[in-house]
Amino acid sequence: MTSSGAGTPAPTTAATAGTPLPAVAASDITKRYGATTALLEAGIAVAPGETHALVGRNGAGKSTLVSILTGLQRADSGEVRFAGEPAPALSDRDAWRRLVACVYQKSTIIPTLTVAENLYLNRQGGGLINWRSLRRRASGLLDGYGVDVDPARVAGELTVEQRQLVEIARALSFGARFIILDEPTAQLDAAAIERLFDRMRQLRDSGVTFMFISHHLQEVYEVCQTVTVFRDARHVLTAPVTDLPHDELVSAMTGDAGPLLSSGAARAPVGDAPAVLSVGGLRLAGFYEDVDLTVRAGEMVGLIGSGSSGKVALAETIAGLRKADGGTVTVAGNRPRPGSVPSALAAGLGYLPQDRHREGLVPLLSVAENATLPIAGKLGPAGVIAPARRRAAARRMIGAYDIKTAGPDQPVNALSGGNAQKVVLARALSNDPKALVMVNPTAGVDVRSKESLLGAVASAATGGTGVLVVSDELDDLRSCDRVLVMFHGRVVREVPRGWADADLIAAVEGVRAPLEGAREQ
Amino acid sequence: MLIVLRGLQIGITGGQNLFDIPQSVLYLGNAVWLGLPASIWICGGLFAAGILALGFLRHGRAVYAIGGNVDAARAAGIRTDRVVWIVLMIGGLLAALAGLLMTGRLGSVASAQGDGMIFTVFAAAVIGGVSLDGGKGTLFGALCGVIVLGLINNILTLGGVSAQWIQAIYGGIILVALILARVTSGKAQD
Ligand SMILES: Nc1ncnc2c1ncn2[C@@H]1O[C@H](COP(=O)(O)OP(=O)(O)OP(=O)(O)O)[C@@H](O)[C@H]1O
Ligand SMILES: [Mg+2]
Repeated sequence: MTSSGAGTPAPTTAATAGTPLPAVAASDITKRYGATTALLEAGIAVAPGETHALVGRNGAGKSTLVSILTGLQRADSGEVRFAGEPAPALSDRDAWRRLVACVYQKSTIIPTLTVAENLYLNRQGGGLINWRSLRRRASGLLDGYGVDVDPARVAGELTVEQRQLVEIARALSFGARFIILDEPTAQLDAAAIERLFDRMRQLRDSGVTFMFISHHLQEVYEVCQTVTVFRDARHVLTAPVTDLPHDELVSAMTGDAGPLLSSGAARAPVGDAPAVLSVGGLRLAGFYEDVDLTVRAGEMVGLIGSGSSGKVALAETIAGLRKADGGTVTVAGNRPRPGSVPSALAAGLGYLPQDRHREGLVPLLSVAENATLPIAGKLGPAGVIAPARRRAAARRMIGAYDIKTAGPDQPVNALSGGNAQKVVLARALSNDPKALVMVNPTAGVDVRSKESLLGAVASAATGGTGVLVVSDELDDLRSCDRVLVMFHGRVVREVPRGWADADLIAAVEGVRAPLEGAREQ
Repeated sequence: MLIVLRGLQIGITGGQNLFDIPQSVLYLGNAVWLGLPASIWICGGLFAAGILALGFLRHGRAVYAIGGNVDAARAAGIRTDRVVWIVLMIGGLLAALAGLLMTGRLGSVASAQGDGMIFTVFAAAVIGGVSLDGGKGTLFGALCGVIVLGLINNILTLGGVSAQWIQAIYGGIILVALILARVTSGKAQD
């Protein structure tokens, strides 16, 4: 392990042997938010032409470093240099954007504007804007990167993948040769991730330098040459990925040497417990047709499928966010009114939405208020909420779900991405729902916290909740009693626990022959 | 703020109506240019300028971007605080101009002049399709809202409805408009 001191990691890849100057170097960066230290004398040096991974647990300070490297925030102390030159002034956004492009963890697409306007925001040209030529330039730009999106559409209507591709195209259009991707894969399905990686490899071949942040460590091995680990606001090590096996990487991130627990711990079989969630003949034109499924009390059922499989739309229908064209949803014996969220909640359904920023959290309220929203009625007599009891309840959740926060009173928009996801999950479980539907429950959550979250879900199931996990992440599905595979709007297979990864992936992609052996490098 | 300024106005004028107004203040409100009142020309000109600025100028589009997603606007290099301040200042200036025009037309300043007008403005914007969540709507829509409300006002007045009831009807229209805006802006949740 070529560990080096904090702040001055040495560039390592062979491609950079002749060029001593790193494309970007941050050294001795310290950043504090009130009492929270987000970065403490941390640094990173990225050699030109390499793809450099930055990993660390939730709240380690990765996104904070990104905002400093892209000139959105000023570090309290420390220095950023691009190819040896000092960074431009914070107010000179254009200079920053010529040096570094970024796809942030939180979407920076403006949902109410068109795609074309999002692409050219604040650089539409001087004088009157010529909308037609703007759209033409936008479609030229999108075509150039092979993004199939109509520039005249309103950005809020795009899928998560399309929105991200638009962000990437926009980032590249400034001509920057250094690109930061902060957890780009957290919300994408396997096929979309593969397309993203192909695109990254092409760009790297043309000399673009990347910094890549992800909690999926296998992706680090797949696309990166060098990895830097942050832990508790500090730089821990920088090494070529080939010198750092998976287990050592995990222990560098977590600071302990214990191996990952197997998350597939067996629970008692449910037998013929009563069904708490059943779906019969449900269909929604353009998304899915004739879906039947049953989740029994105490059972965990997985639902996997590619982005076009309709699995998320199915989950949203069950939760009342969409209204089906036909068929029934039954929650614990009741039929909630189709298309009504409150009615689904009243029937005993818990729901964890896909897009936590849009549907999951109230950004300015505190962690305590967000986490206890559904149980507010239980925190005091006659609808009055006792603040002390709320804080106590929130503190229990913070402990149980390993949420890294300054305290229950911190507003949720000051949490790191993964910790916000933990608040959403804590809230979904707080109400002891009879049936729980979760979409990508561990998106953006680090390896160690993933275990504790999935453990909490499994123990809710042991307590009698029927759980439907909608996800394309195999780790989320390992502790499920069975996994349903959706393909083009239909449930095509049911796989009992103990499946082989390759088989399941093949089923998701609509082929039966195992084919994924070649992906591991 | 509104309440403070109102109080200040009442304090300074002693709650009296002002009649003795210099001609220079009255001029804009009762001048006639090319056969139409000057205020119509001014209003039309300002709306045209506003539509142009909000639809076709970089700084105008920045206002929409800020309404849609402040953080994203900031990341795109828009000086969000400055834009918001300038918009507020323009709003204040326009309100002052409107007061001037109204004074000129009436020839005096009633102590309660413009009272409750904020609700009318609100209603006009909503009826014109301006989103209260921010980031959506056009000045042309707002103009239509103003005209619709003006027409309703005239119809009610000509129909002999008393001024007191017009307020209540305005309130009703705001409510209905808000409900419609909610229902038509896609799937209403919760
Ligand atoms: N605006 C803010 N105000 C206060 N604290 C903040 C703010 N932004 C971040 N923090 C804190 O700084 C720390 C580092 O956050 P950061 O977002 O950099 O983590 P991260 O490594 O990106 O984590 P994740 O993997 O969950 O995205 C966290 O403890 C977070 O709560
Ligand atoms: Mg982050």
